[in-house]
Amino acid sequence: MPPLRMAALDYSHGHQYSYTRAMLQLPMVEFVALADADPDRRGQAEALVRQFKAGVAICEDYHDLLAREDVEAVVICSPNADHHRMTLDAAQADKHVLCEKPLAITTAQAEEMIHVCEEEGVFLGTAYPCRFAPVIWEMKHRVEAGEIGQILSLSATNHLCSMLSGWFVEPERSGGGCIRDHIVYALDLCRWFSGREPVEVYAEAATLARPELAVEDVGMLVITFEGGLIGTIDPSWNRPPNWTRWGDVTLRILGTEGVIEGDITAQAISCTTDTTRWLSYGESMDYYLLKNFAESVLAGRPPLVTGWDGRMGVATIEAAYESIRTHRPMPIAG
Amino acid sequence: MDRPVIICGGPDIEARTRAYLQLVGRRRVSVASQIGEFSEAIVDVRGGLASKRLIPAWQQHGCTVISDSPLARTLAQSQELIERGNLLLTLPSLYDHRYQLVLQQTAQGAIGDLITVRLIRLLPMQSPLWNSITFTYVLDPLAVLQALGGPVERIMVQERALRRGRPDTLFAVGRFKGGAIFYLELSAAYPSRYQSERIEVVGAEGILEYDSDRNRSLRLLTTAGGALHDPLYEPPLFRMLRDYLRCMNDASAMEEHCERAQAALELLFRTIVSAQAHEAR
Repeated sequence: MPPLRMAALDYSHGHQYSYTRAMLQLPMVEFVALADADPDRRGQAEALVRQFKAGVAICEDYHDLLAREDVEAVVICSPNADHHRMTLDAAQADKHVLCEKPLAITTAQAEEMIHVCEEEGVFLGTAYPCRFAPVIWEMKHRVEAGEIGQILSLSATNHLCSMLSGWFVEPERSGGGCIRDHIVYALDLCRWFSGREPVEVYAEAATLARPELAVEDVGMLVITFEGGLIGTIDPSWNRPPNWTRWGDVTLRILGTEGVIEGDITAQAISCTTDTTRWLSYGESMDYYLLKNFAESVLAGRPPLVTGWDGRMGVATIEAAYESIRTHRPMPIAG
Repeated sequence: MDRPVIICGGPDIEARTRAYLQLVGRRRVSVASQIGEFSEAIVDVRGGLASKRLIPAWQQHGCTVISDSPLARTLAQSQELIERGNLLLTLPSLYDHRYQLVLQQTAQGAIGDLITVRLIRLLPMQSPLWNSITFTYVLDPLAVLQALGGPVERIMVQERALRRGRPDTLFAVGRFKGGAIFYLELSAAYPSRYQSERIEVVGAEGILEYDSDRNRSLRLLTTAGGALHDPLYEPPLFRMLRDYLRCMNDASAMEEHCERAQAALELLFRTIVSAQAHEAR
């Protein structure tokens, strides 16, 4: 089977560099093009690509990339507010899409993205790599094998060091702060493990770690899933800038027969010089995210993480912001 | 101190007996389930509401009562008991070395202005559970939260009966009047021998973390089984009881304790109402 010819569309989100590395390494992918309007980011991406391969097309305007017939699928890592428009453009150019989280700013946008991709006959995936972290796979395997029995509650964190800048902290381009950016991974894990959709959320949030920001940087959420199952998420960007890690993604699941806990950042060694850093030795979850997307598209089936998974994240974000505004639990549009 | 001590109910009766033996001397310690001919005794009562029904009578006899939560079924009844005087509510975490260090570092400004607090206590399902997780266990961590962040602006609570037929798990999210936000998770529904305690206090300039799973100083493994401990010369129970005995001879210390207990009780009942009404309180 010929490889899937893929391209990277926008490097505004730094995850795109890791996705590009994965695409360049995967045997079932041929990385054919990249696009970014910013010359610095474009140059950085080009330098990365050159380490692996020559002959990759470099575009300033992403429309030029979408016009190329040798591109079958794109990975979009633009500022959040552009996900909707770029996904529609890509789908209408007959490209499969893997879109960075959060899928969109509004649930209506996310639904339109799903609808247009279906109409155009292309697959839409949401870039939730945490499902592909080895520790999460191991947890999933054990939970499905019944080792902890039936799931009773889920508690998750997705912290980040307080260091974000640029479009991430510009509300009109990001759509918000840690609630927008950091609940979707943990929420997706809760949905995936429990097999239940979120139906209600209560959230608190504030701008405290860096009061000068125009977006919230700390938050806590209690989410009710179908059947009354409770999940909690702490998505705060509240780790000190000199913390040993970039952040964390942790999940603790209580079941009728036991408890299982995982931390995707825990596979690391500590290196101390003038500072202490944790150096990860875990396998790249981004690699397996891209592998699953490419294999799925080649096999003609949806990827493991679909547009609907992204849409549920966006719907929960919307309800969380409403809860923060009203101080009340809010229903999540299902 | 010449007053006799009567120890009633509760799962830790042996530990309390040992503490009183050291604090007030052997001959003054007795164990009883009901008050008899004693007056002006120190009555240390623990357990469910049934074991608390004699508190007013003890107070009337001039006894000083040391009690855990629950004190009474309603906030008004609980407050009335405290207002009668000579009643000390157990708040052991405030005397726990871990919490004292966290409180001290926070108060000294080691991490700057408070941003977030996470407090998680997970207990095995064999742990005592009177009525509900909220009645049994929430007063103490609420006192810790208030000691860390001051008065609470609002709290939203969800209780669940996960494994024990009555509410055994609680999730709470809230905000202090000072602006910081908090998360509290309590459960007495975890597997046998599982016990975990996590404290995370984040400030604008740093972070304080404690995780009992990572911080045990002693690990014991024998053919009979294993155990993890943090051995302490002065256990929190001992430190708390010593301070409470001091309060009994110091009116201002007693008043300070009562104010702290009233504040924790008031928040406890907001917690109960929030869980029942499914609204932030």
